[in-house]
Amino acid sequence: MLQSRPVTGSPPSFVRDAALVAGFDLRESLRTRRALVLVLLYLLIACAASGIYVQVVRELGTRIDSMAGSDGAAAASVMQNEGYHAMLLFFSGGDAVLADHLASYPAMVLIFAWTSLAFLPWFIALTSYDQVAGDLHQRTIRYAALRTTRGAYVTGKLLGQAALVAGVAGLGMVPVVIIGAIYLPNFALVATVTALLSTWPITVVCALGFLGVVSLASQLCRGPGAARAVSVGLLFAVWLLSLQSGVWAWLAVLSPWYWKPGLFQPGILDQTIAVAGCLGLCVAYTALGFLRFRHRDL
Amino acid sequence: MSESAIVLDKVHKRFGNVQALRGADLKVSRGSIFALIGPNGAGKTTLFGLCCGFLRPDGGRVEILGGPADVTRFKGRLGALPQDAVLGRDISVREHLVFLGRLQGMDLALAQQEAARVLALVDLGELAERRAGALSHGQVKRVGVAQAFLGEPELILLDEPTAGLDPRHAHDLRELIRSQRGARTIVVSSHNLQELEAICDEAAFMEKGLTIESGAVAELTAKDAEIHVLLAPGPEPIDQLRARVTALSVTWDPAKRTLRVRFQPTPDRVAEDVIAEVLRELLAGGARISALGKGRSLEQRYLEQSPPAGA
Repeated sequence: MLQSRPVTGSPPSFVRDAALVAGFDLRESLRTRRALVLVLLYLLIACAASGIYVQVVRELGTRIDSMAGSDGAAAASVMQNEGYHAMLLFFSGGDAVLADHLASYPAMVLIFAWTSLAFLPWFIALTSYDQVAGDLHQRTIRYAALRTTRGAYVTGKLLGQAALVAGVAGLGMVPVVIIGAIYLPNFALVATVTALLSTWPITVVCALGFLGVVSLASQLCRGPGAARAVSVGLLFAVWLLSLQSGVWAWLAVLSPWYWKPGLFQPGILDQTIAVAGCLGLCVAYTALGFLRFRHRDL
Repeated sequence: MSESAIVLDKVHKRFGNVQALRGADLKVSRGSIFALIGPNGAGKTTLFGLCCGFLRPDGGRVEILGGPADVTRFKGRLGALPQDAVLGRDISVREHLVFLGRLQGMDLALAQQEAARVLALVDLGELAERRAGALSHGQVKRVGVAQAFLGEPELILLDEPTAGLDPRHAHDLRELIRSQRGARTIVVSSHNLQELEAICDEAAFMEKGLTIESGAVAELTAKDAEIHVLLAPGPEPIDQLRARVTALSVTWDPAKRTLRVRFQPTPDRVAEDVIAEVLRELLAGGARISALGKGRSLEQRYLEQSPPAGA
């Protein structure tokens, strides 16, 4: 009498609960328009970046063909390489070592990766803002709060959104390969796919930094509308931090944008530091939100 | 082990300018079916929220199943139907329940088995695969009740469980709650006082954030210490009755033609003995009896306690 039914299976734990919440959140996201919107936006960016690259290559090819004589073609090729290198320097923020390393990526992959990373934070703000605030608003969280800790819940929600972003980022690579294979002469399929797969973890790690910022906003707000506005506002604020210089330059480390170039660095140490920076910011911003969330009324 | 499933001691809770609880006290015995009664805004839902750990008290002590209201302590031991909580629209009923069961600590097989069991309890087995967003209001309420029973928790809090249910399912739910007597502690809030009187052992009246009275339903309604008799038009041998049964307190309301008799029950004189005594005298005096009852209804008791609206 007065005993609850004993439970079987693995012992309840933070990790198990967080994984269960993440799995449920991911399943729910996949069945709502949220996942569809993110996929469509990401595919749009992938198609646009690939399409623009194909157009540029065709245009350059046409110009080189139109230049009479081998000297003219050679000069055009030199100009093309110089232009590309200038673009790499722009991507790398003037870091010549990084620019040289980026030159080893197929150009199409690089443009796709850089473009998608430029838009990713704003996509995340638009699709993950209600990860906690939405459940608070609808009070759906109460069903889970009877059964797991708030920490496991927030962690699970974050991981669910991270899994969603990882999946969508992987899906976004498909049009790059398809468009390149159809429209580019001498398309290096294996090299492109390999390079795309090498940028995928970079995208995911970078996304985690931004997801931390959005998680903070989502934990601070009760309504989805406010959470969306605060997410965009906070992302804008951390973007501004990445631009700091002089006395305030140290503030840039609080921005995922600051660590993004490091993820592409050739050296393992530089990469590790950048990964640690992004993951650290993810944990720090999420924990900052949790300071409020753990004491709030659900 | 504490004898009380819930103990609230001078609990305060404020939402902005609204003082929802102003020092509420409550003690719920283990194994009882407990009614929480009060008008809208009395603080019932706030009290539920504090017991479940959804809300943090501003002051006072909240003790659930012998300790603080902390999910790490009562995971799987406390079930609740939260008021106005919404289920994810695009997930099926079964998936919701399996997820919640697993979060409670069950393995997949047990969670699936439990989901099927609790859905059968609320007669929703056929809708297990339906999206929660496609359910009617009453069906959503029944799913909410079902999840509260997952894993057969020791303590279940049901905030207005029959609101929005059709009469048939409201009746079935009352029977379900009644069947749990002694097996677990259930706290129910409802505005249907007849319903609460029929299923609950204990009750507490709440008013403006305070618990104004609590105790066994039989005591609150004076079931063992009061009878009332409705007389049909005709002889009114009230004085004769008063003269014969001097140990009883007799009150006569001529407008309602209701006779109320209060007494102190003893092992030698229980309510049935008093009824026999009173009826004998009334019939001897020529009175015509229209109706007879023990005690007052919970509703009458509540209305006596509660000030009129607007007062």
